[in-house]
Amino acid sequence: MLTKITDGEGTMEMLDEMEELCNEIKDTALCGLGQTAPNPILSTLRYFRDEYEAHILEKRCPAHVCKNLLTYSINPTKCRACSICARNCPAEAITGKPGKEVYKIDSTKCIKCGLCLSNCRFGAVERH
Amino acid sequence: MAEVHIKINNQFVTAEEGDTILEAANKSGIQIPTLCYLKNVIRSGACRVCLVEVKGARALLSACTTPVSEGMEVWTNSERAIRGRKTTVELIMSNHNKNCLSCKRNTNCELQRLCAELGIRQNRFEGEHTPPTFEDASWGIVRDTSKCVLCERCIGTCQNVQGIGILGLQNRGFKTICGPIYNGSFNDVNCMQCGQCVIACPVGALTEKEEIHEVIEAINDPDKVVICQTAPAVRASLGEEFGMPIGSLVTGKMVAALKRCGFDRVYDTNFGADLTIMEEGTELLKRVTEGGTLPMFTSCSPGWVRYIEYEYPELLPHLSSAKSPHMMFGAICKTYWAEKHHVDPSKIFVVSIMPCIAKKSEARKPELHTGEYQDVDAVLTTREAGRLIKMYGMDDLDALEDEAFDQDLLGEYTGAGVIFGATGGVMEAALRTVKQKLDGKPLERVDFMECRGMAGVKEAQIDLNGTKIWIAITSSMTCAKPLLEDVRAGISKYTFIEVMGCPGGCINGGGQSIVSARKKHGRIGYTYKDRRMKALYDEDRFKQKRVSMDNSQIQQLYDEFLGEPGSEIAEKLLHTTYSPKQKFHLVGMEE
Repeated sequence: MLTKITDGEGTMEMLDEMEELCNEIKDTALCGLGQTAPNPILSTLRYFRDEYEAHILEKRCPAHVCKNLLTYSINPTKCRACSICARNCPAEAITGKPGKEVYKIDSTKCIKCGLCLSNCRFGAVERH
Repeated sequence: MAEVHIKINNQFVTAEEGDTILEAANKSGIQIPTLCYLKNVIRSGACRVCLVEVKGARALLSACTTPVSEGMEVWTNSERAIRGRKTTVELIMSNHNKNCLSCKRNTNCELQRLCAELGIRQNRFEGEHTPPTFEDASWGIVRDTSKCVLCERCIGTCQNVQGIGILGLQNRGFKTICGPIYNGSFNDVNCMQCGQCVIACPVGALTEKEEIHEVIEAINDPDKVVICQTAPAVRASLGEEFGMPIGSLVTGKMVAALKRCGFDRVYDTNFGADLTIMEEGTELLKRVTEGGTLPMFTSCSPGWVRYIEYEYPELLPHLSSAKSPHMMFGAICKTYWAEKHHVDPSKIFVVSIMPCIAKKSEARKPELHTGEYQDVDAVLTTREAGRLIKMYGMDDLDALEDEAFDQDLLGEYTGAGVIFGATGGVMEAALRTVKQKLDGKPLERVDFMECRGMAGVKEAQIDLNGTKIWIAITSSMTCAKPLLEDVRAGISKYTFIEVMGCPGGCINGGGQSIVSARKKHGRIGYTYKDRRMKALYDEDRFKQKRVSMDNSQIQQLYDEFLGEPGSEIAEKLLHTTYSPKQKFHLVGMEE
């Protein structure tokens, strides 16, 4: 269920189901590990419910961690067309002309590896 | 024992100190569903199905492991308890392959039953599955871990009932799997193939290897003469496969059903049992009078024979050289019967219907072949026989009219053969013949009550024509072990020891109809072994001839073919040899 939510395939019913299951496991498990293992999920559900909801309803990861929910784009006002992002892109998803034309990321090809972001010297690559 | 007063479902219950909640509840008629618990065998609390709510406890507690304490208040079916139980079963289901329709345990599965009772209507938690193992290399047992619920009942049975312990849990966490060492086959370890793990399994993870299709092929082959023989214990259990009460004696109905399945002849292995008594009894007398290796062990139980070959190879000379009854019967079928009926032995197909899984590998044992033929071609368990009969359209065994076994040449049997199916039966049968032979006159007292009952070890002193001998009867390997240790140390006082591989003898064999744990714990099922045993002793009681040597067809067989017990031809056809077996065949250790 958690994987589905991080992939953007979650539903609001899943949150209730997950909460119920965690409480059941706490109540029925044989060992101390089983009785406490669901705690992280229960406490995140309590304190960071808005983040779960953002994943499910807006298909967005506020902490920028869930790969499948991220999009990378290049801010044209900041881009200096240096081409370093395109040269580092393993998926050849970035196109443009060095020195002449600002670069663009093709989101259908992008594998969300984050190399463009870490290599850009001008902070032009943005992650949402 | 001190009394403890507790309240279960607001009802006052008096329990004994040390009882678990489950035991206290069962004693007062309150039922709690269980899955992994097997009375006197295993109590691990692993499955979490017997959860109950206890006042003051933080979480739900498993009834099978929690001891009662004074003033305890328990609710077995509060909303919280039922919800916990239901989620637990749903989680077990999420890692189960759910191929119920094609499972051998369909309609007889304890997980299936729990799901039905708890009203589970969907697979809520469909997720990843533990990588499964399917293993059917041995002749007897098939292991499919995709159905395993990790209840550890097989492990407890192997360890605590048979004292062998070849099964165990391997890997950890989600990858945990149950099986012999290195997740290998039952052939690679010192497994006696008794099948007690199979009848302990609540689901279809451990099952017998089916041979139904080979049998049907033989029946449909016009060239083949298919001879069927049924073991004594089968008649006391087959009825259960058709919903009849435990302990129903269905001899006549079983014969009628098997004849309708198209077997050319339906005989009783009891003829073989009578023959075994003649051979084994003669062997015993010979050992006693001529000073052979004593004590002598019986050799009817192939599980026990496998056990001694693995665990006590130095005691093999103590084992009677007589083949087991169904192998003797097969050997006689393919020689004497074939000769009399002018049938080519290669065209005879002998099917044994047995309460046993070890018989399957016994039939393939090279030492037990007579000449170029395998004495017995296929072995069906009681459960497979039930399936075969149902496949031929007879789902109501009770509706069939009784029929008699075929009577030509190998049809007669005595009461002594029938009781082979219960622990102590072989001993009693042997004593009847030996005593009658020594006395030279019919027995005054046919019943040897000292041989009967369900005790793990029974012993008695018998007066044989002035000489007093000690005999012992045991079943299951944990009970047999102390006797074997005494024999090994040379301090055993016994002359003759009957050993059966399964606790209670063949009536509780690994191939018998499966009694669910719930029935075993309930008031009726607790005595299921006694009920089946009673059925056999009842048949014996009403038999006119109750001593093997009185069997006229056995006498005819000796007159016309074998000569006398222990003759050269009898040695060749009816006796065998044993060889020590290496305990482990591990990959990488073979050269």
